[in-house]
Order: sequence, then structure tokens, then C-alpha cells
Amino acid sequence: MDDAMNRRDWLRKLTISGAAAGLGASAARVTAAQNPGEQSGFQSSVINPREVQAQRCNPSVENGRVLQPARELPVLHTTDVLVVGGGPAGVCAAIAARRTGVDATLVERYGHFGGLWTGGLVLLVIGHIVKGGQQVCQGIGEEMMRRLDGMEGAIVDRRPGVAPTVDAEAVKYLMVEMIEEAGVKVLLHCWGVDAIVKGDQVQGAVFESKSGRQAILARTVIDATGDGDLFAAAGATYERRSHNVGLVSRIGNLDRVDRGRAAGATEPRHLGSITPVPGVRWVNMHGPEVDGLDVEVLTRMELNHRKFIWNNVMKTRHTPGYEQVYLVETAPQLGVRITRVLRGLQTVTLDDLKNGTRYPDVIGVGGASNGEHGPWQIPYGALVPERTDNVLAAGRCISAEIRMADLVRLIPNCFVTGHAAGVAAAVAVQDGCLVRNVEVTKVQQVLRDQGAYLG
Amino acid sequence: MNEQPADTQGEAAWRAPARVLLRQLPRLAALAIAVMLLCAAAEPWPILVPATSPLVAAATWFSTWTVSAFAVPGWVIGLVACWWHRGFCRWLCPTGCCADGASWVGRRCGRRPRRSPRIGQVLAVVVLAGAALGYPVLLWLDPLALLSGAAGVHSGHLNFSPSWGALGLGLVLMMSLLWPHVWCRRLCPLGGLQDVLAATMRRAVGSSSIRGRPWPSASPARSVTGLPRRAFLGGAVGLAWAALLARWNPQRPRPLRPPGAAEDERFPSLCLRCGNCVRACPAGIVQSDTGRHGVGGLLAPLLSFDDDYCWESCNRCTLVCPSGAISPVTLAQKPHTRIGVPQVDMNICLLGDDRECAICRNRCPYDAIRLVFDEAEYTLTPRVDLQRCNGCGACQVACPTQPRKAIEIGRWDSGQKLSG
Repeated sequence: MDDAMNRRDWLRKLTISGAAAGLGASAARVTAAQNPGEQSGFQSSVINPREVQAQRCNPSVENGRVLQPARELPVLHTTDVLVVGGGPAGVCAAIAARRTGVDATLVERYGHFGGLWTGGLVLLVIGHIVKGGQQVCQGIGEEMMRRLDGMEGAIVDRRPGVAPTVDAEAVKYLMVEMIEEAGVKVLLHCWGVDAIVKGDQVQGAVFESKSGRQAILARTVIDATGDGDLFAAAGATYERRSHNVGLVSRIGNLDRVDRGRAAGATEPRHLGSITPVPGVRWVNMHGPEVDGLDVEVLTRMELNHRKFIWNNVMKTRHTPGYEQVYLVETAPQLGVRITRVLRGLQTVTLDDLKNGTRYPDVIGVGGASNGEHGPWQIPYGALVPERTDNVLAAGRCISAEIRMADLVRLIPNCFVTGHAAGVAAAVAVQDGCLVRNVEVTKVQQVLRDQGAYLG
Repeated sequence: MNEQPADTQGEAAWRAPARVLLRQLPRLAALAIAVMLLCAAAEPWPILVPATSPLVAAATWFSTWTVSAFAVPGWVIGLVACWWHRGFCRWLCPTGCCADGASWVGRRCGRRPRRSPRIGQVLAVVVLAGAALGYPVLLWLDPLALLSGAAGVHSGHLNFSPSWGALGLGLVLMMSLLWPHVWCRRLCPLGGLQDVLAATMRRAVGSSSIRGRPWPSASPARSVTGLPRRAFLGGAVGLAWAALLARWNPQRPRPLRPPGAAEDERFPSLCLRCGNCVRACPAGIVQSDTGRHGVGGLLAPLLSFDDDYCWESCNRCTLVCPSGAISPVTLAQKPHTRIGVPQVDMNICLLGDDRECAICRNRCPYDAIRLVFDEAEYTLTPRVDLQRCNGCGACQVACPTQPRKAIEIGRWDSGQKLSG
């Protein structure tokens, strides 16, 4: 018994002293960088201040202006098709490019894919059908929806002619699965901040991340940022628009509303619509019409909206019968609808929609938000900047007049333009040409082979 | 026994169809031209058919104090009718041609003309007296308007409403089958007007200078016997009717009228029911009222935004109205010519439920709708700028809510047109 006690004491003493020795040792090794502590199990390294000094290139204040000296950026990666932005358009583009047979790299600023679909909690998928009930969104987008059908609790209301609602976590999971199956190189937590440009040709993009400012070189870049960050940085002409910026939330326990007690009271507002999770509803928000590129504005929106959502849920809880309703979450990502819009070789217009214009270079067919009109064709020229080359727009920032903004930005229409941009970029790489000179009939053929609907 | 001479004439016509047919040739040609104008020609030519009627020309002038260039044939025929009694009926009237055809069949089936009071003369005076107060009531009984209305059957829009325009001509033909010749001789207000004109001239300048027998009676005195009494009766009825309409303000919802339409109290009176506007509308939104808004407005044009809206690029319906019920509107005036006012029901509007929709704003041809963020409700609300909006209905057509639309064009009752 005593022996045992002694042994335990001895062991404890040994551990303490060992740890102390380890600390002392690492404190002593001031010059050893990149040397993980093998014995202790901790992963750590110490950076040499002089080495840091050599790499440092801090901005300084010169005559009241903050200037940053020129510096060399480490090249993180080199690829054929670089897709910036992992929302519905970017994911479709990366998968499509990889399936067409080239290297594809997908860079996303958050820790998950899906963009506003998942991070923005825009769970209702509208825009895949047109008047009469025909579904125009096919291809990779429809493949995703079919795979969600096969997953448990991933999608509801999936019937012909109806807008389904998905579960954000299921979509995040599925997107990773599909991206890995396709073999796309992925980088998360990377924010695309600049384009690498020579003349009018984009050669890659610069990213900020916890690894610092790094470059990825690519033969073709797809701007699926939604805000057109890349083509704007590359000098392409664009239009800057204001739109409603809101914050979506989810509320729970709606299945526990006491209907008997609620009968007399006026029904609370902002109760949203169903999700695949029982009792949980997602609540959309329009928000005021503001510039979604102004960080001050975005901050104000975020703060105001969060305050409103909390207060509104409290108000709901004080309605008889609704006492158990609670706020599940506010969306991690602010609901910015439209900001920059590309000036492309062609522009999608409302008149074209009304007239049913057919383009020889059609690369997809868009749907209606609530089934109130027919299909409209999207020409390849709407993805291609007027002058800047080797960059394609995909998603909500493609070239469309302002009256079309509310159609172009819908998730299924982002699937369609993303899919087309991915295939077109891959074909351009394979044929060794600029994206504006790509053989559109070949792109159309590959798109059809991949299940896309071109009218 | 009074009708004996007419009967004899009818019998003669029955016995010698070839001669009658030969005499019908000018009227058949007029009928063919009228049908061509109504069905084939571009606007404003369909206007010529109803505008050829002197009754329409006079009533339009009395009620609106405007004279269209297209009314010139009407005035010419009216002048001729003063000197040549019922010449128009005998040689030109296309409706008369149809009615006589039906009468011929009726007689063949053994029907005989019946006695009837000369209602046409009363009707003509009713129309003109009403017109003097701005309400040319019963003007739609004009035979050329009836013929024009019947052409709606061929308008190409496969909905039910244009075929209602054929109702008037159908009744005339049916009447002629059952009681041969009674329409032309006794009921037609245009014929009655010619009787009145000829009788007045006869009295003024003496009967010798008036050409043509007072038709259909062989006796010149017959048709004008009791004319002052009928004129007095017609005038009194017309004035009383018009005065009643001017005062009467029914509470039932009024339909939307085409752009440039006269104020709704007068519109059903001014409208000929010729169907020109219904046929002219390329969008198919100008439709004949099938009685949903009361008997008074039966067959008058109304707007239906079920399938399409009033195109900003079109003013065709305003160019084909012969009676001034719809004044011409140029494309430059169109944005300022009010049709109605959009009304939003936020209980139905998708935005009220936080759903994504902006189609009314995106489809508005005049950029009149803004989606305003309401800080209190924390949602968007469509707001209409009435300085820009003319009520064209594009928003209503586009609105996706079912079965009722969240945005609907309602009546504009505090004045018909915007200034400017």
C-alpha cells in the first residue's frame, strides 16, 4: 500500500519535473523553428524574430497615407481551373470542370460549402421550374437535389412543380462528398482578395488566410464570389447595385404551439416556412436596400437584424400558445442579394425573357421564382467580361439587366451558370484557348453529356 | 289595311328574286367592303363602318362637341338623306342587306309583315335628345354599330367575349325572320332619323324637291303622320333618360375602361358597342362586358388583366372609336392616361410573408413600383408612385399569388386623367 502510494507520488513528481524540463528546453532553443515537441505530444514551434523581420512588409504611414511596400507572394498552388467562391455556382463549376477532365481548385472563404444556400440559410429552393411546371434546372444542380432525396431529413416538399426546402447541414455534407468524389482540390478559410493579371489576362488569384497572403496560379479563373470580387479586381467593367440585405434565422418548437390557446390571439408575424427538421422553420428577411459592399453598412445590418430577430422571437414567445418557440440560430452569413454585376459580351434582359429569345450560344435555361413565366435562355456571352480575359462570371454576378437581378440570383439559376462556367473553362484549358474564344458548340455538347438542359 | 301597299311590294319582291337581287348589288358590295374594313384592315379604318352612320355622327357631335375626320361620310349621308328619303337604306345599308335577306327567308317560310308603330323615329329622337345632354342613350341600336359589333366573332381572340358583340345583329336577323321587314321599316333608329330629316325638309322646302317615296309607305303623308307627336315623345324620353343617368350613381363596382375612355357615367351611353376596340387590342385585354356590371354596360368594352396588360407600346383601341367614348391617346400621352390604380393586399402579397418576390417592380414598364422596407414591420411593401403609374396592369398580370392577385388594378374614380 505504502509502496503503491510512493510509486504514484514518484510518478507525479517525475511528470511535473519532465514538463518543467521540456518548457525550459524549448525556452532555451530560441533558434530552432519548425521543431514539434515530439516527446510531450504538444505541437508547437517558435518563430525566429529575425526571420520574421526579413519576410515582413508592414504598411507604414507616409505623410498621412498608409502605404504597403511591394512584396513577393508565396505561390500556394498551381491549377488548370481556379474557382473562387464555394456557393451553389462555385461548387457546380468546380465539379463540372473536374468532370470535363482538367485540374480544378475550389477556394472558399468560410469553413463550409454552399454559400448563401447553407451559410445564409436560404433553404427554400425557388427558380427551378417555369410556368406549366416544367423543370429547367438539370445537370449537376439536379444531381444534388436527387442525392438530397436519398439522404435522411435532407429535403422536404420535393414534388413536381413545388419549391423544396433543404437542410443546410445536409447540403454542406453532400457538397463535400460530391467535391471529393470529383477530385477537386479544396482550400477553405481562404478569402480571394485580388486577381493576378497580365495585360487583360487573369492568371490566378491572391488569397488571404491564416497562412497569410498567398497566390494560386491558374490557366482559367471562375469568379463565383457572388460579389464579383475577382473580375472587379481584374479590371472588368461592372455595375454596382444596391439590394435588400437581410439576415435569415431559424426558429424551433413550432410543432409545440398550443393551437387552442393561440386561437384567440393574432398570429405572430415572421414565422417563416417549414424545414426538414420537425418543428423548425426558417425565417427569411428582406432588410433595407443598401450597398452590400460597404463594410460599415454590412456591420450595421448585421447588428440591427440580430437585434430585431431576438426581439421578434421574444414577442412571439409572449403570444398565447407560442411560449415554447425559441431562436435556433441566426445565419452565419448575412443575406446580401446583389452587389456587383458584370458587363458581359451579352446581357440577359427582361425583354428577352418576355420574347423567349433563343441564343445560338445558349449554355443554360433559367426558371421563374414563383412559376409565373416561361423559361429564359442564358447565353455564354453573359458569363464573359467585355474585355478582361481568362475569367468567367458564375452565379448572381453574371451580366444581367437590373430587372433580371431577382431571377439571376436564384439558387437553381446559379447551379446552371456555375455548371456552364465550369465546363467552358475546362474546354478552354483543354483547347488551349482564351475563354472568349472557346468553341461554344463543344461546351454545349459537354453540358448536354453532363445532363444539362439547354432548351 | 294600312300595311297593304307594303305587303304588295313585299309580294313583288318575293315573286321576282332575280330583280331584287340585282337591286341588292350595291348593298352587297357595301356589305363586302364593310366586312373587309372590319376584319382585315388596320386601324383606324374599322372606324369607317360605324362612323358612316349619320346618327352616330350627329350624336357624337352633340354629346362630345368634337368632329372626327372619319365622321365626314356620316355627315354627307345625313345631308343626302334630307333630299333623298331613305336612299341610304335602299342602296347602301349593309345591315339592311342582311336584314332583308333574313326577311326574304322569313317570307319564304310563310311569315307575313305585321303592323308595328314607327318606333325608329322615336328612337332617333331619343338618341339625339339624350346626346344633347351628353348621354346618347340607345345609340348602340344604330344598324352600322350592330354590324360592326358582330364582326367581333372574327377577332381571333378565342375567348367568349367578342362573340357577344354579335348579339345585336343576331336579334335583328331573328326579328326579320319572324316579322319580315319590321326592323328596317319600323324599328331602325337610323331609318327613323332619315324619316325625320326628310319629313322636316318636306315641310321646309315642299315635298316636290324631295326625292324618293317615303319608304315603305306609298303615301307620302303616311310616314310623317304623327311625327311631331313622336318627336315630342322621343325628345322627352331622351332628355329624361339622360338626366336620370347624370344623377344616378350606382354603387356597384365599375369596370376598368380602355385608356382615354370617357368618364364612366357617360361611357355606357357613348359607347356604340361596335366592338372596334375589342378587335383592335393585340393583347386581348379589351373585352365586351357580358353583363357582370349591370345591364346598362352590357357589351361595352372593359379591361381584363387576366392574361395580359395594356402594352406601353400600343394605343390602337383609342384610334378606332367612332363615337368619342374612347378619345384618341397618343403613345406620348399614354403614360399619363390613367386606366386605374393598383391596390396591394399585404395579406396575400408574398412579401408580407417574408417571401422572395419582386416581380411587380421588375415588370412595371413605367418604373412606378418601389419595394420599400418598413422598419416597423421589418419587411418590404410595394409602394406605387401614382405620378408614374397609369394602371396598365403589368403588375397584376405578373403577380404570382393564386387565386386572387395581391396587386390588382382598381377604379380611379376621383377623375379620369392625370394632368400632363
